[in-house]
Amino acid sequence: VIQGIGYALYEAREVDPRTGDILTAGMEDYRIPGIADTPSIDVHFDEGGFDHVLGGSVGIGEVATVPTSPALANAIRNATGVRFTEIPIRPTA
Amino acid sequence: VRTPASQTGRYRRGVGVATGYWLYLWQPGSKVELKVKDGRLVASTAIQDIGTGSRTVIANTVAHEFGLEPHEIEVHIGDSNLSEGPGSGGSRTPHRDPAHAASDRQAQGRDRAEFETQAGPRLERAVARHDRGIARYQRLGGTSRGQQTMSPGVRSPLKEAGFMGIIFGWMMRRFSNMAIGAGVPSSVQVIEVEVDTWLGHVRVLNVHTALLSERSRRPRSPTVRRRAR
Repeated sequence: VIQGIGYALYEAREVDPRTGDILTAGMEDYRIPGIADTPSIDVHFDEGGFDHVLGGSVGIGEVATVPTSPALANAIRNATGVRFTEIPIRPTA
Repeated sequence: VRTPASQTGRYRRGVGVATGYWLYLWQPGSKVELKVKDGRLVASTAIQDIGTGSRTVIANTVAHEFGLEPHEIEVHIGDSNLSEGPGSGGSRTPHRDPAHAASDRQAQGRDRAEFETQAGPRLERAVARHDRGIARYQRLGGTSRGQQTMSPGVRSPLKEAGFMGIIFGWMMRRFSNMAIGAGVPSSVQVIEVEVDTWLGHVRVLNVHTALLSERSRRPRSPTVRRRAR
């Protein structure tokens, strides 16, 4: 969830338009969520839904992150009336 | 939460919801080789443990099948010379449902172990209790049987991609030993935010998320429970 928030609100690869150099090449410049950005998180696991998968075992790392950015965009739409269709959703967007 | 039109002032709150879909992967040719060496049961497969517990899962699964303790299983991994294993990724490393191992064993009952005769008495008993013996190779994934058990209406995403999907699927199987299966919408999130309309900052207040996940490691079938005792 926290990674998804970073994907939705902060993370971006900034490139110098003149040289092509990556400007966000390190952890000092590449913005990711910190503890102050972390919300209250409630997680519920429902054991099931993958009966068609041999063994019933699937990776859940990706799918846990997938809905975060659209849910955030929908929440911002609900709050402000503004619909964002590109990420990261930043004040300058 | 009030609608946008009903909110005024600098800080405004909103709630959004979205669902997530992701496919799943398996490596049908993956195997774990089991043999007895120096009185210990040795499980070997060419996989890496990247901190996601591959070594532990293999030890636990094999131990469960033979009624042993995990520390009695010697796990050999991290060597390409071992039998072919699955890849290790951030979201997925090999995990094995013991109950499913049992069904695999029934399918491979004729493939008996070629044991070295070095097993100690306890291990001999453990192997003897394993009524169908030990399959030399236990598949970690499946192929045709998995396709047959696919639920109606749940199609691999590659099937929707036409000819290119077929080619891509073949390449993944041929060169990466990887089959791409159909996922289902398996996550949902409800998020509440507070937006600072002066500065444009978004503060995430609450996240409620639900995930469909694999079954727990609890034995599911009576057969497996019996063997666990």
